[in-house]
Amino acid sequence: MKTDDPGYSPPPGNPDIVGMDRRCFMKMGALFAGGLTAFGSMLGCTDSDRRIRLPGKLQKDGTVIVRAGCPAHNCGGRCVLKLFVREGEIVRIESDDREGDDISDPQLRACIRGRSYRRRQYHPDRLRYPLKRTGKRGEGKFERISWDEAFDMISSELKRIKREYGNSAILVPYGTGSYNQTNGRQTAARLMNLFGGSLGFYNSYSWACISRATPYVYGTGVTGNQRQDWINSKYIIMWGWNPSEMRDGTNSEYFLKKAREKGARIICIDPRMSMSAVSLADEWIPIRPGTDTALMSAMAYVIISENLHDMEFIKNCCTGFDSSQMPEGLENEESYSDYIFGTRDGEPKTPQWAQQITGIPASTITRIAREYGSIKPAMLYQGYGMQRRAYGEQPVLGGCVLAAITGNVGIPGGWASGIALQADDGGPFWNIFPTGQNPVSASIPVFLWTEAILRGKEMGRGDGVIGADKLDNNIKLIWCVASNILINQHADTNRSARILSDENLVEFIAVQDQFMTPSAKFADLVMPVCTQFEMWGLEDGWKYGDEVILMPKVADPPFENKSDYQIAAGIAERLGLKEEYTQGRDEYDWIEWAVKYYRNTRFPDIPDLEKLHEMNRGVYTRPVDEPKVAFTDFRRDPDKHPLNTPSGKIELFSKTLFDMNRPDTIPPVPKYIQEWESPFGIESEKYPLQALGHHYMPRVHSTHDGIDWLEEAFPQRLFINPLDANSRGIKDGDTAMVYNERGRISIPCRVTAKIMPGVVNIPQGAWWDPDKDGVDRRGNINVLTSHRWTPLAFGNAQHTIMVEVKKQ
Amino acid sequence: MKQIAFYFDSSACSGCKTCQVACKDKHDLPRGILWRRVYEVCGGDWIKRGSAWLQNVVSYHMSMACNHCEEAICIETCPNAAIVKDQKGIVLVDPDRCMGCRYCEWTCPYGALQFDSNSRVMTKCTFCADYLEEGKDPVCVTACPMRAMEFGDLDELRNRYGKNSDIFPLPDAGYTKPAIVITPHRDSGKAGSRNLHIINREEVKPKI
Amino acid sequence: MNSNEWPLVFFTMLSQISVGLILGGLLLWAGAKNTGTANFDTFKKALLISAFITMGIALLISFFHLSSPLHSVYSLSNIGKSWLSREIILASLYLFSLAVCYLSLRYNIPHRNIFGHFYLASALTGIILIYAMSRVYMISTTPLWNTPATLVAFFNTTILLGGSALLLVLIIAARAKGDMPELQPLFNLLFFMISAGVFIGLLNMLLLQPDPSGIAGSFAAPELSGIWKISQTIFLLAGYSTLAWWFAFRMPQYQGSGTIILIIAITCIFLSELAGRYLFYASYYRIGV
Ligand SMILES: Nc1nc2c(c(=O)[nH]1)N[C@H]1C(S)=C(S)[C@@H](COP(=O)(O)OP(=O)(O)OC[C@H]3O[C@@H](n4cnc5c(=O)[nH]c(N)nc54)[C@H](O)[C@@H]3O)O[C@H]1N2
Ligand SMILES: Nc1nc2c(c(=O)[nH]1)N[C@H]1C(S)=C(S)[C@@H](COP(=O)(O)OP(=O)(O)OC[C@H]3O[C@@H](n4cnc5c(=O)[nH]c(N)nc54)[C@H](O)[C@@H]3O)O[C@H]1N2
Ligand code: SF4
Ligand code: SF4
Ligand code: SF4
Ligand code: SF4
Ligand code: SF4
Ligand SMILES: [Mo]
Repeated sequence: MKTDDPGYSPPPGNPDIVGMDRRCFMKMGALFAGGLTAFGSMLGCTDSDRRIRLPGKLQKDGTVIVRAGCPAHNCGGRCVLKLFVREGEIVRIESDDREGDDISDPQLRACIRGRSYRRRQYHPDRLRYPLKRTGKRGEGKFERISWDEAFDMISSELKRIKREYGNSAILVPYGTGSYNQTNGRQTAARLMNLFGGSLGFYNSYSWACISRATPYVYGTGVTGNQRQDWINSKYIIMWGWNPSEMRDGTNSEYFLKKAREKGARIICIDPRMSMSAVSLADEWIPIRPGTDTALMSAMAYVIISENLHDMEFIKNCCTGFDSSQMPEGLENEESYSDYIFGTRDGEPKTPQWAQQITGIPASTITRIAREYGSIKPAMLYQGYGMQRRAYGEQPVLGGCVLAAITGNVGIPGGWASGIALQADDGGPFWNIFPTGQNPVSASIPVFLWTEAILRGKEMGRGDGVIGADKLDNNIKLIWCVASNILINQHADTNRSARILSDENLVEFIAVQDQFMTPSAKFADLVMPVCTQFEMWGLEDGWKYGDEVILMPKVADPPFENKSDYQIAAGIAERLGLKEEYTQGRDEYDWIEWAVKYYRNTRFPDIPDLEKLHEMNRGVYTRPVDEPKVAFTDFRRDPDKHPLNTPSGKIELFSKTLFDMNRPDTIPPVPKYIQEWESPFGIESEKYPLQALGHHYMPRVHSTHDGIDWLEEAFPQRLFINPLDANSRGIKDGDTAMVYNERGRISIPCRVTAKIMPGVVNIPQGAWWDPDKDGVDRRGNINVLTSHRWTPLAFGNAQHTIMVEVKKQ
Repeated sequence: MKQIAFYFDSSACSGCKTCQVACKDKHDLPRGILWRRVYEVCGGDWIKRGSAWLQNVVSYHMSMACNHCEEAICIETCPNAAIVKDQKGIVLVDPDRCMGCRYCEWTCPYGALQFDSNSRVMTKCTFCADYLEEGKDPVCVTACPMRAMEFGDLDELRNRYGKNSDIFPLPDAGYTKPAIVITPHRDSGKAGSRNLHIINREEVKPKI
Repeated sequence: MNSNEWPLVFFTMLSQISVGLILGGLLLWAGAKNTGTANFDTFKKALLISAFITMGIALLISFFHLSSPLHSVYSLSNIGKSWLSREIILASLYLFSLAVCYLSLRYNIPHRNIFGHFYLASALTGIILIYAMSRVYMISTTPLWNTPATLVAFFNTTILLGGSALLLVLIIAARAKGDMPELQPLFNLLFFMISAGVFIGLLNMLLLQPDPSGIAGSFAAPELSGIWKISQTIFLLAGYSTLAWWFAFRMPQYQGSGTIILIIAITCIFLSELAGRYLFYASYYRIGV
């Protein structure tokens, strides 16, 4: 995160764009109903805080069309919406309509969620006023209070906790509800940093293992080519990757379609026949969850034994391939080839061996290994679901190593695998709103926040604490902004609920959201936040993309809603930090600041905010005609452009990992390790089914749950194979109880052959809705998930669980 | 007479239903009315051989609205002559003539006709006739993130994409001569052998 | 079956009863002439009123089945193509014709035997109406309906329920007038009519009914619940045997417990037909999606 630019002051307002409030706009609508340009014709309606400023032509029916970014939740895409605004209300939503739609700069077409946003925007359940808890924590009883009371309440609690415990007892938890700069947790983080800091965290719920593990092989996370390069590929493995549903950057699925049109063969390895498997792949290969590294190892076995590996590339660019390539002093340790051929453990990783683990026929394994080994160039793209699992580091390392030994690194159409941030600058920034430095140096792995509530003072390096040897506090105050992590999205919901309902543990909880979420129900103070159409904002791409998307304010916040920025500013005032916090800027000024920030970094040619808004295209893009390819320089001359690894090369064997001396859970070469809840373990006697909770089309995690058009299109269901359903007497549409030691869910079933036998799927993100017996009636998979974390990355392993299903 | 038509590429459709919701938003359709809806077709079986799972599962999607048929059975059956074909070939329900007898709903083999209990008349895809009038494209077509849909003159679309208009689960084109051209998914030919069926019935809400 | 189709069940059954009454009346008219027994005139008024009211109720029900009934003014617009349009006009004509018949009796208009002509016209319109009504359901895209069984079933109901209803009308008329032994030959005729109905009904059930299991399609063909089918058969047999028993032993005693037995018999037959009609609508199956 680059630092703030305090010296920058915004230019005077452009007289061509005139602000107007809603009343004013309606008046104009009536006056100029003949289809005049709304723009520039309403001097006199200028609103000093330049709030609603709609560019575009006033249509006959009084609508103005404004192009704006789809609210920047953590959805996997970033798209342009075309909003039809009439009398302050959004009456229709379409999407990007820029001419051309060329592959170098394709339209950013919205998905089903963006298109149905009106149903969220105007949902009757949206929060209206600040609320104070009246019942017990978590009971969901509240009463309305004023903003003054709300600000007093949270600021006095912040001061008290700081006084009694110190800043490290404060947590602004993980929250991905908004990345539009002036809404979202970053606004709170900035204030806390000015206030003396709060407990830091690192990592994400998304890709803890993949972001942590990739650099052990490559020394960087920037291992991906720009996506336009995908059309150069001839063979693409979508490994646990479902871009049709989770997008992974708007248009990823479209680029794959284009690649296929140009002749690429695409296969999909996933326990579910995902939407991507159906629409993008030539072949679906179902795999038993959690066994990917076994398949990868067997593929390596075939590739190496049949001499399909790229020996020259391995010689020049890799280390640790075999005993001739081991780091100094470790010549006798198990190299990658040693593991594959079983020289040490006596277990050659043959396709037959892998068949027993993965459930994939050995002949299929051999075939795809040959394909991947011989069709050039080839991509092995890893999804993030399989690393949100026990030992989720291993398939990440395994994928990287496969890409390396086949020589697919640093070439057009190839793919180094791993987290694959976009070459060559790492891609979009997501957040540039300056949060500043956190004076509290201690950081925990993001997933371990409940641990830090229960036993923070006992946590040290062994629990992944960095920046300090030990924590000096348990978490005592949570200020939760744009997040449903407290209850819904964290593992083991019943446990989280137990912890949070104890007022002796966390003494004060504030939640800022648009809805009364399961997390908000556990708050002492709930503050209502406007939607991202009701304030100025700006976003860039999700992981990939070369654009900046504008999010002008198009409507007033209803009732007493405020932006996260306004709320933080209000609290800052009580803390005596208003000037430092706002630097005299409102949201619009910050967005102006942000545009300038992009000009100084990724996009030197980006026009200023006034101009961008006036253009009303919604987005500034930089077309990609010659896609960048990661590791090009390194591949050309590895000695001159060494990697940021200890050896400067691609490390198939990592000495750093070796030195951790935990070979069973953190081996120095990627290995298949049986998961802690596995169909091969004794736990499967009671709970024989593996349960996934994939990222579902109608939601962004828990955001959008309960929106009628989305629920109609994709209802919350348990997906179960006919064999498993029949043996339990379950028919399509029946309601079933899904349970394990941690909790119970009652949910209707969808019987479908599109999921592997032995595996069920409850799409993650449904709002926890326990009945009086504690049975969740909506289907939140986190009722069943475990809070055990992965060994190296301290990552969430929420996809690794075993359950039983019975008909109700 | 020219006949306007849809083109649908089933091989590229992901079943994301953006088209479905785009249509709902444009026409303000309540829950339960789906002028465009997406059928999820699936078939095939699993067997275990040793430690390996063998399967021949197939699946694909069909996004479907009204096909503005050349021999529209709905037009023939409506007693009120409330369903008409306009100059472009668009089949439209005239809400001022419809008496809500729901007879046409029984007959259309594409489930296109859907009764709106609020307005108390039959409704269906209008091909976004108002947009066409303004020179704009139908919203479902421009909504598709996979660019799996097009529209245009039926003959031209046939020239470009062939004549297919009745892959499973659609009825034989002979019944109504639908104005649609389809690029089939590779799995669509496997109806008989794999017990193909619609697996998302509750989502497409057929009125039976 | 959708609940919004119940009105159609009653519309079709009631109009078939009405037409059946008129057709039965025709039979008795001819029969009375030949056997020289009691005069058709003694009950023709009752008959007409029943037929008119039944058809009137039927039309009323069908009218309320419309969601925008005011727009029904357009319902004759598509007579060239739409069987429903034709059905609607035939039903209206039929009712009109009945009304003329009745009025000619009520006001005793002897003019050119208006009654006779219109009675025949009613019978003819009625037959065409039942034909059109069947054709409404014989849609090319609904294979389970698009069979001769629909036609047979609708005419069968007309005969069976029309005959039964006429029996009731006759009894009631007779009761009003006191003992009328000379009605006996007419009862025999009606028994013959009902028997024919039962026979055709059974044949239709056995031979013509399409088998939904043979249909493979995107949406599975409807499962026709056994309970309804069984009730249909049981009620038919029970009703018919009770009726037969009544004819054999109790017929003269239509003053008293005999009537109750008769009513039970006819109710059974009606319930059987109701179950059959329910099954008919439940067997709605359209090809495609
Ligand atoms: N629609 C939608 N899109 C989203 C999101 C959303 O909530 N909804 N969330 C966004 C965010 S924040 C993130 S982090 C990403 C997440 O993106 P991912 O983590 O990639 O998404 P998942 O659905 O968890 O997993 C992807 C696929 O992995 C499969 N899978 C699970 N376990 C295994 C395994 O052991 N082996 C293999 N081979 N496959 C496995 C699942 O069946 C699924 O199809 O998505 C982003 N996009
Ligand atoms: N079992 C299981 N659990 C998972 C995952 C999984 O795969 N399986 N995935 C994990 C992943 S990858 C992630 S990223 C996390 C995501 O977890 P979260 O970051 O908690 O994401 P959401 O559930 O979308 O919650 C975001 C909240 O922000 C609110 N919101 C939206 N816009 C705004 C705004 O502008 N301002 C404010 N103040 N609030 C706003 C929404 O209403 C919503 O309640 O979930 C994780 N949880
Ligand atoms: S992918 Fe994300 S940004 Fe794009 S429309 Fe969907 S929800 Fe909005
Ligand atoms: S699809 Fe159905 S509603 Fe549309 S024209 Fe054809 S028959 Fe009529
Ligand atoms: S419901 Fe309306 S459009 Fe359909 S047949 Fe009846 S009158 Fe015609
Ligand atoms: S053409 Fe228009 S009305 Fe028809 S399905 Fe598409 S969006 Fe809906
Ligand atoms: S929007 Fe396109 S890809 Fe999505 S369901 Fe509709 S046709 Fe298929
Ligand atoms: Mo995520």
